[in-house]
Amino acid sequence: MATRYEMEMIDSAARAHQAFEEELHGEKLIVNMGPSHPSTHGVFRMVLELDGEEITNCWPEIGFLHRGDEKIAENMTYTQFIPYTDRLDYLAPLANNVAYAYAVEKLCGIDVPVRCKYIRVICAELARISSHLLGIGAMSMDIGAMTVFLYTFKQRELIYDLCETICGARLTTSYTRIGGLANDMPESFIPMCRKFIADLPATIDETDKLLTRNKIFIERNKDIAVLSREDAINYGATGPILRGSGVEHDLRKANPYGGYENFQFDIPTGTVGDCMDRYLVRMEEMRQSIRIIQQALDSMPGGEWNAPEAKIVLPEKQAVLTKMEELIHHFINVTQGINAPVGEVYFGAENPKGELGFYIVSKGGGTPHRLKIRAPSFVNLQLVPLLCKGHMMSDTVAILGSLDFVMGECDR
Amino acid sequence: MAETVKLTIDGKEVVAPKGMNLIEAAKLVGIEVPHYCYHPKLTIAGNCRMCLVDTGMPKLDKDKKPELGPDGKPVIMFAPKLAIGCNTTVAEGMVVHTRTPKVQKAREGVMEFLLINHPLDCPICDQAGECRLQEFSVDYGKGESRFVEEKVHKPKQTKLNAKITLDDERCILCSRCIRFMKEVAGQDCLGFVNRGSYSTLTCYPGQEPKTNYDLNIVDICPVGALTQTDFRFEQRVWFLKETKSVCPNCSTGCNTVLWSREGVVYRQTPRDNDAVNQCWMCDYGRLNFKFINDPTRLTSPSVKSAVYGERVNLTWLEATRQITGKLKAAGTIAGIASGRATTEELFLFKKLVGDLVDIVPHTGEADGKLLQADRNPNTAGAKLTGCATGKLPEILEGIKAGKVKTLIVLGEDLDEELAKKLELLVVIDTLPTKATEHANYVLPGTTFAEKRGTFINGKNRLQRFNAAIPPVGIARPEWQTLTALLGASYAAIEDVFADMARTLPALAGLNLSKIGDLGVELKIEQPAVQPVSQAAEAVAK
Amino acid sequence: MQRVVERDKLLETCRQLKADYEMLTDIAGVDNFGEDPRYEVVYHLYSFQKHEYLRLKVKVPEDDMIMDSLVSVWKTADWHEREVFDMFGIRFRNHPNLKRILMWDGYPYYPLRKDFPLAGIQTELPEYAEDAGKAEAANMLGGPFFGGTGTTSSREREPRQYDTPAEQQEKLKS
Repeated sequence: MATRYEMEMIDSAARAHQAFEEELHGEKLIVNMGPSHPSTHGVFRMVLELDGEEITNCWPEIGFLHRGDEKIAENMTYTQFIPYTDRLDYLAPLANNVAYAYAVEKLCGIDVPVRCKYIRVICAELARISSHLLGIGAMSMDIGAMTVFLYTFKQRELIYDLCETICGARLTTSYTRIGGLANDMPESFIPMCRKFIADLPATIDETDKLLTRNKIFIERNKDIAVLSREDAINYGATGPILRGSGVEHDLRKANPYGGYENFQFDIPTGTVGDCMDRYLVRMEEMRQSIRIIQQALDSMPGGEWNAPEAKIVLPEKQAVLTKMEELIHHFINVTQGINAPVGEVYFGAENPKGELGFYIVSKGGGTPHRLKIRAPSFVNLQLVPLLCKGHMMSDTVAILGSLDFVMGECDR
Repeated sequence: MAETVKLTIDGKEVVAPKGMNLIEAAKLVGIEVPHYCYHPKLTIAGNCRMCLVDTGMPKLDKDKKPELGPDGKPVIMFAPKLAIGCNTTVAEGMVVHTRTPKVQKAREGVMEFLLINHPLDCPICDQAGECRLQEFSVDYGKGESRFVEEKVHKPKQTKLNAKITLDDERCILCSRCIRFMKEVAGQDCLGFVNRGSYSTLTCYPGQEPKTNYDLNIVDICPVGALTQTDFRFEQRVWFLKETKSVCPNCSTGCNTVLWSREGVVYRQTPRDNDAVNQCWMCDYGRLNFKFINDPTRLTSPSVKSAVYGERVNLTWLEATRQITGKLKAAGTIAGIASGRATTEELFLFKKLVGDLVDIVPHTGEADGKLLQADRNPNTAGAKLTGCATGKLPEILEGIKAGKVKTLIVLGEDLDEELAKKLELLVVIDTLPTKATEHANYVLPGTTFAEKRGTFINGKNRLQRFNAAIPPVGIARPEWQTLTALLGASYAAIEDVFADMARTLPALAGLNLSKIGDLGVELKIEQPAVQPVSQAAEAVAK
Repeated sequence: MQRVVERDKLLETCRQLKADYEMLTDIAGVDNFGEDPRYEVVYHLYSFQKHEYLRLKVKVPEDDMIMDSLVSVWKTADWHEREVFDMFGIRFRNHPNLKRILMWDGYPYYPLRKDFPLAGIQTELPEYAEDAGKAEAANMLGGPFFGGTGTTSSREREPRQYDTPAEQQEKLKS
């Protein structure tokens, strides 16, 4: 962690001699960007060693938001764990729900109906837009462009309204279930969503006008924290960071899941790998998400939204209260959990922050033997020492903003 | 050696003893065959039809030898209809399938029929969490119901007797309770009346179950038709912690399970142990656990103030120091131990007191099945450690005459006049008695539910029981109290047992873990002690 | 796709696999309480050409919990291995900075082991955090109620109260 330098206070002649012998670094300043800090996007601690304004060394510390999710998962049934997934990346809860649902369905070997897939796609893309709006807004606010923050948050409020319409909650959505969804998409959702994606490009364009060719913004972001292609892959970066460094890799195209193969969209990729590229990738991704949502709404099929698996999906309430088998199945499903087969599965989904992976080891029964959450923010944060070294103190906020991590996911 | 038979179940080779039925044979290889009416300790009824399996025997040619097929293996002729597993004995070369689609359809069909008249009581039924109907319905039944008619209504919530409540609608007519009452309990009082969908379980008119084994039918009922009245709506079963224990109410020492949550014991059920109690337990022992959570439990060491006559609470350190000081200064120390104390406690007690020690006998009427006349669970343990010397009348006479002035009592009561005659009376007990009222020092102990220890039952079987709940207040297990009074340095009860195993040859080579959950039979030569006499029983309470 | 790799051959195998599988996605530790060897470390590699994952499993016995660190092959293994060390106690040789990552330095237990209770164990906080409060066991209102795992029969999966997952697995065995 913090390194202590011991300097002897000897007389000035000896000190001058010492300085002549070796390079005089002067005394380096250790600055603590403590866990409580407005610009560190959550409880994240960085100890910086500064030589004047330049960062010579940097030690990140995490674990302040560690809640023991993986230990808790060994005690919860698969359905009981869904609210915990909301709180992983709490800026895009619907995306986490979707990723977890697909992981458990892959374990149980269930295929959900097409309507469910399309609704989940819309949810995931709305979450992506919400997360990127916050990422760009918070980064700009830290850099100094505070107006953008308010514009993007206005749109996020509208996304929260959409979340409330579809599942009743703004942040703690817990919308997906194993084998389907908690409830069908209500009729009022579709016109609301169409209006939202019709109005959103105006805000993105406005943000673009305010930032992308803004001299100050460019000065603060261009060629800052350049991440080469090899480094990005070596450090396991995923999501906009990987794409900003020039690797054209998106899990929605590479390992398509949940109906993404039916939609047409592009993957924005950067060239240099600096903060500017990552910002541009996020802006373009939002436009692509609007495209995907448009296609999903246009081609939304009717029909069932839950898989026809009577032993896994909870029966509907009317049947539970009036029929015997359904009551028993509901009872056992809630107390013991679904009867997952023995096996292990890794499922990676393209979350707004990167690749959110769930590695589930099941030894049979309703609770997982081990649930490992591969959090994109955890892996991306390893880049901080590499990216911050050699830059100025004031560049840290730009770098942290461009990495766009969230501690809920990182610490679990 | 019993003769064995080779057969194949689901592709696995099984070597089963002759005469075993298919359900037990499948259990040998870890395959579960669902069943309701079959019980290993009762006669076969064969009325639930849930254990249907596909059986086949090798085809025999004219020389009565198995005909071999093209692949070299015997040709198997499968029976045209499925057979019930509980009543089919294993045969050489039999092939059994328990997972074919035919068996699956049969199970779904049986399950569906069982559920058509079953009431939607799951939310209020006590059996949820241990209900065979729920479990097998999810594992082997269908997920959707096709029943649209109205269910048959039968008497609900009737009292079979004061201890058992009967709900006829939930009964699936497996007849386990009827067979149990007739064969094991000995009172043939239950039966089915009416026919078809209206079949109901009742007690014959004018009768009610009156045996000491009634509550076992609550255990064996696979659904929530028969429930224990004092456990009704108390706790959901999945919140309870199961702890393996031994019943301390007579010298049989039936193996039990204590169900507890947050320091309160809610019920006791028997455990399987073929050597002691098969899988039954008498009601006398089963219902005797309410004293564990009695509000008047002793919670702190106390001393009787010589001046005011009131009791003053002490810390353990103070109490131990004062008592050990007084014991050193005293002359002859006598001790009254209890047959309800664990073997480890009796071992330490004997060390503390010396020769003048005896246990108090408690007897009752034996019922010829599990309940023994000797109501002390650890008489054999007392005999083994030397605490059952038969000197009880001598001790009591000595107190009356004034020759014995110092007495330590471990878990028993004492007559008031005798208590008042003593100079120093130290009582280690759990509930307030006359002895604790008049004692100089009272040290709180723990019940069998709060400590780990062993009992030796009437057939010289060493059985271990575990702690289910933490002690009340600052009470400590008695072995810790006795260790402090002795000034010894045992860190854990395993050390006490190890010391005991070194000293007593019958326990050589054992430790608490090696005893296991089912106990170990000991070889004890009966030491020459005087039997406890009737007079002693009359004097002690 | 998955492969079981011997502990001593892990570093060599990974160096060879790096040509095809460029990215190390995840390292997870698994505690199989009751089995021997008790622990397992699972690596997930990803190939950009083939668009597929490869799972490598390495078994680690309880009495010899040391493994080779893969930091020399993929830099991303750094924090993952620290987390496996923090949660299970498996040490990695040649790791540049093997310290606890999620718990504080000096925390005496390894939380994701199956014999660590869900409610936690009361521990002392380090001196610099004395004002932060207490690290106590959580009030579980009677203890964690585990449903069954390790079996697919509903009978055995009924939930009961156990203090640690290890207790529940012991009961299933008996």
